[in-house]
Amino acid sequence: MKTITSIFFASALALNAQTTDKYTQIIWQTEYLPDDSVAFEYPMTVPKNGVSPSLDPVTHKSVFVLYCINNENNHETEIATQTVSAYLPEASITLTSQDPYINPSDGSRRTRADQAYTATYTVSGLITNDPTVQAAARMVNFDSAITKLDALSLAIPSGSIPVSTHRLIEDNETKSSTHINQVSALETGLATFTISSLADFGATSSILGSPAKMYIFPTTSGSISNLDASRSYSSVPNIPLDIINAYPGSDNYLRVTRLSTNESFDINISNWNNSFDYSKHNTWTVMGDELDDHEAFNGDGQYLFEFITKTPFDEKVLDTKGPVILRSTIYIKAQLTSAEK
Amino acid sequence: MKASLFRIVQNIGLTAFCLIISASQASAERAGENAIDSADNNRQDGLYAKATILGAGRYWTIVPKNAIIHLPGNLANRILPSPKGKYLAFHAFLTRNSSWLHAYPVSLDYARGNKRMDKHRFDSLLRINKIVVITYRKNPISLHSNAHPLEDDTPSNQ
Repeated sequence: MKTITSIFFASALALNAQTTDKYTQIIWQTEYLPDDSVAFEYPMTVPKNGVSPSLDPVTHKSVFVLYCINNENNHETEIATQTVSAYLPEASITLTSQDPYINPSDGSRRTRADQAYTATYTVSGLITNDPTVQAAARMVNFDSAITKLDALSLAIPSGSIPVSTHRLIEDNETKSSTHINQVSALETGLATFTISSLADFGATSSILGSPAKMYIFPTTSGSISNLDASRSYSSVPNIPLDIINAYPGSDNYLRVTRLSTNESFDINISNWNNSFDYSKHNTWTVMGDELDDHEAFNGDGQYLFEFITKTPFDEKVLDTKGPVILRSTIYIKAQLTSAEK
Repeated sequence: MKASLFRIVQNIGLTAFCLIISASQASAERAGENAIDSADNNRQDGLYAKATILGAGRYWTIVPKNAIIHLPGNLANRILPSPKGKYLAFHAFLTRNSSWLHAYPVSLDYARGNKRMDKHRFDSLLRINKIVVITYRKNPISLHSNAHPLEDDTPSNQ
């Protein structure tokens, strides 16, 4: 970009200014530091052949003065003065949800389809007080795209067309926006936010900062099988648990409540590592053997069984069965019968 | 985008400047002629006021005031109070006068004072019996005071 600017500038000078036998043109550049003190002064003689001096991009501000010297009497005349300043737009985007997890590999975040998340951007370095400067100095692009992902691989399916939005930011500001339900409850999606510069004088648009990514996971559903409410059991039957779209990092419990005392006991059935892996569909069968001594089942009575998933967003009851009457000691044994990611 | 050093010229813009320069070609003819009668060559913001004029024989050139880092006493007469003879661009002038004029090229980092010159090298320039002018891309350029070596500079400080 630096080079392109220099070439452009030099070419423009080559086309438009040159020294003749009678007159010599000199471009005098005075570059200033941010404190407005002089960084350097640099005179360039515009040659007769029209190949004008190559100029470097301005780092802060330069004043270019074009002088003309009459070669016959050495009188100098100021022809034109132009101030050229540099601009350096900067931007950052932060995405936050109630899930504090941050993917260490790319900083991406995650949320659930029915949960809101916030996109906060900060833009600085734009020129806001001079509407005459070129657009690239006054505004940046703000783009977002929602792409549906393959639920298991989290890859973007070929041919997938993202839903994109675009707008221009024209202020140096920090602003937040809230987003929710960008994909359906059963879909997995990726929201990507980018802020980019506008193309300017042959320099192409480029992304400012890093794109911000939010993975959106579907809502979870689950069921308890093989338990009939109001039925009496002399022993605990096998209890298949079926869970679909478990949220990554979620804890999934079978909660047993002894209704006579209203005491509840959470039996941690499964949880996933705190990563982007999540379970699309898993089934467990809970049996009593290994819970023979569990305090939840130390007497006859009525019991309520709840299948619960716990995430940073909430604790949701996926399914409830009961009251179930247990007349004698209950045996519960957990055994994974199938697992699918 | 810091890493990519996104620096583009603004406030110009460039287009405007190019147009001005384009127009200036024609106006230069008129201006040059008018300058015979109207130019004030001693005004403070004029070209000659902010430059040092070097001359020898029938030719002269200009350099920024802080571009000369060494002026031997016996060459003080090469500094002219006003232009005399025919203007030559610095590089052409240097070619003709290399016996008493020396160019020392630097990068813009030095010109801006972002980097400090090596004291050993700087001192060696001060020992030659020539006027030493800092240059960048064969044109004279001023050297920021921050680029001058410190008195106790050692090579590790550069």
